[in-house]
Amino acid sequence: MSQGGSQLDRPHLNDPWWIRLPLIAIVVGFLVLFLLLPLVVVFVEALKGGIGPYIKAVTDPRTLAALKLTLIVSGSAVILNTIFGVMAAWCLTKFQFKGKSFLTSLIDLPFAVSPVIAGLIFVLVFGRQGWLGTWGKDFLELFGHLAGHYQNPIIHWALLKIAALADVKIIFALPGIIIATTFITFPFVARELIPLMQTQGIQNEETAASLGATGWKTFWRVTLPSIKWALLYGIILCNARAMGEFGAVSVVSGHQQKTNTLPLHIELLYNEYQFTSAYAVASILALLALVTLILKQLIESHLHSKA
Amino acid sequence: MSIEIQNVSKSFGTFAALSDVSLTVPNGKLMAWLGPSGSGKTTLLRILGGLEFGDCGKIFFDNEDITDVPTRLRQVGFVFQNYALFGHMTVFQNVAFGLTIKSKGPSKSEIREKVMDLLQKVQLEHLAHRYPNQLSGGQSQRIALARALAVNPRFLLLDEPFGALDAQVRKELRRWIRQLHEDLGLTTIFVTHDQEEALEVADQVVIMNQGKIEQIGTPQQVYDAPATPFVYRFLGNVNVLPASINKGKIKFGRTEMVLEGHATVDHSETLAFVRPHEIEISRKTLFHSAGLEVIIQKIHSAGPIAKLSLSRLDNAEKIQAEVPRRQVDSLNLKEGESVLIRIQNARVFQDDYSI
Repeated sequence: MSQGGSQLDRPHLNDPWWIRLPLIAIVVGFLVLFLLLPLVVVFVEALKGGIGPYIKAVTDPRTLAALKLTLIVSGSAVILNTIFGVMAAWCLTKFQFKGKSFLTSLIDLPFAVSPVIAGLIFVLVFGRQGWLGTWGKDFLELFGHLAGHYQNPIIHWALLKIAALADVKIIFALPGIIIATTFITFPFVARELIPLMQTQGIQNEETAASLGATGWKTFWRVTLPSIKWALLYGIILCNARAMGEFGAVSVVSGHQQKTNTLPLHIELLYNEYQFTSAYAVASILALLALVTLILKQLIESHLHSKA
Repeated sequence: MSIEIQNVSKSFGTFAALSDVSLTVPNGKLMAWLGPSGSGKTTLLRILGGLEFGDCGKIFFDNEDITDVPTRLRQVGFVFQNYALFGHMTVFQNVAFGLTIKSKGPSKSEIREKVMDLLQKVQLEHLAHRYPNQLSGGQSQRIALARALAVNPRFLLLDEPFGALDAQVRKELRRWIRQLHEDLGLTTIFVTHDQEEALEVADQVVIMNQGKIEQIGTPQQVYDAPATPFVYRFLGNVNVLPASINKGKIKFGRTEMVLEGHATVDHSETLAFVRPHEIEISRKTLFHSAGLEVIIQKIHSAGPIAKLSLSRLDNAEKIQAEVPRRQVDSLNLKEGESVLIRIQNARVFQDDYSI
């Protein structure tokens, strides 16, 4: 907008109106058709039957369960990716080591791989018949067997607990959904931090060290405060993507009611011809997206005012 | 605190940044490490600060081997060229940083007292609650110094401390650092590529080139008696003239001059190093024609010293001369005129040793 204003003062830089007008019309038309209209349709369709059916659809126990699961999954993915993302960015930008460029491109892998394929990979790795699944079965047997040998109740109990660890169901259960979502949304935090931390360099950390700070103190007192806004921005993007993830989650959830997230639940409702309910639930996701966008905008303006 | 560097080498890949450097920094001195970029001076400074580790060699602080001691335990004040102030902290918090990170550090009021004392020392106590992006370059550099001083460092390492400042601030800060050094008596090393800065501020100058030390000495020693052609060229302007030496006389073209203190080794073809201010200019008269005949091509006379671009009459070689402005006026020198020059002092380097 400000760009347009300043262009008016520089007419010698402007093209004639018959070039500008069609170009502007194309852009605005595209935005309305592909971005604005679908959003409006979601809310219009959701409220088609009036406010009563809408509230009924939104407060349906299955919907609420899906919402709860979505929040648990996206919350877990965001926490994990914040930790991993900061660690990855920290080690990629503040240290020199062999294989650094390989690791950098590895971070982008989730962007390159189709989510459905990512989901399939996890089924193959963690599934009952998968690599770790069969290993887990052996593990379970081994520790169960060992536990049988020990009379000491504490050791017996501990070995059984360890064996039970291997028995945790991953695929077609909550852990699998969290793993898949975390994988898909991994790059958001790291990608946001790496360019910033690269331009910041390591002199602040070197200064802190020369003033007697340990690596731990340096991270909390010097590095983290200087990246906090970019980190928050990355977290918000990561969260938005985590809540909306469909492909990978669809594969690992196994299409059952208790492992339905909001996007899966919408598909289910739609396939059951419950259009109003489907749109009503979709409107929840859309609202979450809008809130995310507003937060993102606020942080972005803060980032700009800082710079 | 004296510092001893023994046989330190460091390479980055195939590039040898330092090759077998040994150096002693005497206690309480202000020392400048001078050299072009890539000469290894900053690398050596970072090795002293523990920010880099040499491939081999040892470092001693007061006879204590600290070669493998990590940065945070070295108690060294390190100041970067671009200040590296913590942008999210106020000036006060920046200076207090080193005091607040210790688990059994001083109390809040002690910290406050110490920080305000330091800010007073750098004459910036009125800026305590500003953020770094509200400071000028010179102010930032002084805050960075105060922050380094807060932890009572054993000595100070300054990496191109004036590099990012404009000329006026540079000169001011230079004098100020010299004064601060005299007040505190702290052993200080600063790295620079600006010879004027090194010669003006330091007690001792170390001149480095291609990972090696070329010469160590007081500013006067290195300026008056450069040990190598590199030092001669690096410290100030110099004319390099082809010459020959015969029986203690040095000959430029067909003009012979007797130069005092020059050895008797004959040399048919060599290079003589002559500083622009060691050239004397006179007018040719009936009775006076001894010297090299040159044509004045250009006179730059802004300031008390006039810089003359001369061209030899016999082989058109360019010579730079610096004479007092007053002399230009009294001789009424004009561009395009031909005059005589006498070389008052020249230095000749012969292979490894100089005569």
